[in-house]
Amino acid sequence: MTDSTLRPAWSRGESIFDVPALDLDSLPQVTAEWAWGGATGDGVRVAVLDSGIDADHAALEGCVDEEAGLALQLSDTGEVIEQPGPHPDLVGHGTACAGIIHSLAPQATITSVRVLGAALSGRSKVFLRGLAWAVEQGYDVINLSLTTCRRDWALAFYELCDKAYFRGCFVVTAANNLPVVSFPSLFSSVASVACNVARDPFEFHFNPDPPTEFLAPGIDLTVLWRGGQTVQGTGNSLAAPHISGIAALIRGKHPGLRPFEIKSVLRATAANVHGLNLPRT
Amino acid sequence: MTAEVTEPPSRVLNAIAQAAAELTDAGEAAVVAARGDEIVVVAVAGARAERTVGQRLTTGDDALSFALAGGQSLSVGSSTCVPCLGADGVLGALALRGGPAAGSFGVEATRTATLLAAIAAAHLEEGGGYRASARTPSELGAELAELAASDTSRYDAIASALETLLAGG
Repeated sequence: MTDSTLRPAWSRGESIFDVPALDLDSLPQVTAEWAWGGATGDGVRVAVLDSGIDADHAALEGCVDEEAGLALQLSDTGEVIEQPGPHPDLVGHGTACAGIIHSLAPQATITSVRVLGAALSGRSKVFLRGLAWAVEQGYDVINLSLTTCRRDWALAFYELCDKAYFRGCFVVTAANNLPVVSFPSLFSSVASVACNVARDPFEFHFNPDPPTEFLAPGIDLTVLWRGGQTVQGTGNSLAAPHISGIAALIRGKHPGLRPFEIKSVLRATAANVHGLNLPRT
Repeated sequence: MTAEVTEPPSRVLNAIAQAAAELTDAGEAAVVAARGDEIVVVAVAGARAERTVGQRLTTGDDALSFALAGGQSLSVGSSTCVPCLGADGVLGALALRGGPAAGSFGVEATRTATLLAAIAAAHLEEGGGYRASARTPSELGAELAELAASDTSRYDAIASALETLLAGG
């Protein structure tokens, strides 16, 4: 898994930012209007595994279910401690992800699963446990704007992402910007996302050169940050929540769709497959 | 934050920090190492550098915390951080602060930082030797060749840091 297909957005020159229109059978009956026209994400539960969420941020408009949240960290003896309920954002990044999802799917309920920020060591163990919890809870969409490159954790993540897939949880991951093996963004059971240069939050692309399957806005974005702030941000970690937000819209309108069907709908409605003629929420 | 000099400065990492500051117009370019839950500055350069070698940093609400904890590059405001990834996880990061006049670092600066962070990762991984890292030498070589063809001045600066590394710096 070290070939050129793993190369990141910004080491590929500008080519990935100029994805050509694809000569694909685009499932013409599957339009963006069909997929999410009129949808708001109502009834959809989204889990954000990150640094926490500033639930009081005015721009989030109360979309965060604080009581349902979970904060995880390692104990001194190396065990994962789970603390249910409200918790702050320790960095700001989780608030950024939640803000993007909320801007696209305003009626979706967002839950914070804090796996980052409390300490640097033991990240993979905490990350895995947080993802397992979100899958156990059956979240409709799970946003992972983080990765691990620890190969010794790959199998555990692989099995868990398969479990999510079979359970119907749509897992969206940020591709690593670096051309390294990282998990779980390389698994086919998840939707892996890198940046494009679009300004329209609904303008996403299908990447025919996997394992990164989708490209979404992630460069020079104005995003929410902890403490009620907004900042300018760039990163694949900000592209992933765009796909999570659109997936939340799709799930809200078509709750019976399985993860592989949501991927197919995303592919069919991508700007480089179907053109950019999208309904807005 | 506590200043603590724990080791002699690394020529390789200093060269990387220097190249990063020059190529991206950063006011400060720092290579930091993650050691358990500690973040230690191991090299720093730039006309507006405030951090010092040996300084321990605390996690906070910036791109550095996310890069180290999440393993992903991130630019926030006038900071850009690229993690130095080893085979077994995040070894550290290349952290740029005080961006160019426009305020934030662009894609090209991040691309440059990504290359330099990979070199730093190789150094951090082996404590000075250039051996296994998350990226293979052939991958890094291909990327450097691409840069040499497209941007000679950037390539020269990065190659200089790499030569220092290969010379055992």
